[in-house]
Amino acid sequence: MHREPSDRLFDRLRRAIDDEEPQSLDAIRAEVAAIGLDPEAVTTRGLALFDTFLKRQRALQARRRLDAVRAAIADFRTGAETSIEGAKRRISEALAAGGGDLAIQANYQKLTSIEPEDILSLNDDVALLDFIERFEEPTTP
Amino acid sequence: MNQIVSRAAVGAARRIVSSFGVADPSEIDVEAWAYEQGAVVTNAPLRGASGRLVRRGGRGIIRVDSSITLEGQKRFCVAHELGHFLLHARREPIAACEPETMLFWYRARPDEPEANEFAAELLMPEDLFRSRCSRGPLTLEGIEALAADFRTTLTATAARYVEIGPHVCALVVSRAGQIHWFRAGGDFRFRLRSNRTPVGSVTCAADFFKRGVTGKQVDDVPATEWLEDGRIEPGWTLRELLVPMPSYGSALSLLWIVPGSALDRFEDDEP
Repeated sequence: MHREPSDRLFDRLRRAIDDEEPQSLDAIRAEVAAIGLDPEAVTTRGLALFDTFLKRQRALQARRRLDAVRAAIADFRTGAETSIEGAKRRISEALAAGGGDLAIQANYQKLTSIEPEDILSLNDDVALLDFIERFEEPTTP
Repeated sequence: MNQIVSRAAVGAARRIVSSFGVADPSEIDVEAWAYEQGAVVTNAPLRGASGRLVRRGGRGIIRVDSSITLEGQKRFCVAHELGHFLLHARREPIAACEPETMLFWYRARPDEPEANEFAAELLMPEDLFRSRCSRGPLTLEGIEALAADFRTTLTATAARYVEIGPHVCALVVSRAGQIHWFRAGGDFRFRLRSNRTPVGSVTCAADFFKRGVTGKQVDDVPATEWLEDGRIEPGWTLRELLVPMPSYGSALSLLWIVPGSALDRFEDDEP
């Protein structure tokens, strides 16, 4: 059976890995060159494959993290806030993000033109922000 | 003819796409990517808006109106709000976007086209999109196939196609018999009729507004029906491909300058 250079390279790499005495980089380069391959091209290709692998892993982890937060959100229930004024105050404070009284007042003013139903749904979103921050806290270094 | 592309928007979208090494449109996981950037997507009722962003620091909630059932619309809405989240931190902590703002080049607020640019690049990355565009004749089936691959709306897909596809073409969106907005590729050198002018009377779009969905869907129509350009001579035609959207009371017209046609040859003669 005809064997491609890549098969031979894998054989040699496997032997190199199995070898109890680790080979130097120069020795491995020489091995690669000995079977007619360009060591630099092999390295470049290997790095590209590794980069692709890392990116795919990142994408999988992103999906897993999203699934985890979604599962947590499924159990999340908003507070029983029914007072529009209470909700406005809570939203104003929550979104001031440390901006102090002026920021709170500015936020509150902007909420005056918003319909009550929207105030309540905004209140839900602010509560969800709080929940997600608490959910993520343990993983924050 | 083409609008200025926001380098910041395109750059931000490309960085995200590149970080996940997308090789196929099915890998474009916009909600997972949004979460990686700090924004959680939820589906819940919204009144008078398609999407809303509530932000605090580096975190945000993107609420998509739960009455949106089309996957393409939903994904575009998420990507659009993510664009605001990443590009427009100076904006108010609460921002709601109406359906109109998610139309290309609708300029109610200057940030909106930028969010749309971001969304288009994120959902239809240029290299991936180009590689999937057929170099054969422009057909509705081709646009529909791209929309299915990228899970985007026909409108967003057609707009992307005229921008970076292989043919010289433009997209005109008409509503109630009038031009609502349009977008032309950078190499489309003729001036289109202005917004709010009636569609030409012998166009496929006019036929649709007169008769409904049974109208013509592909036809060579006089160029003057769509273009207002003194350089055009009588008898010159362009090909109109119509996508009727009766539920929105609107129609998409893809206007293609067919290779070898008088309009195409005219461009060849340009200095």
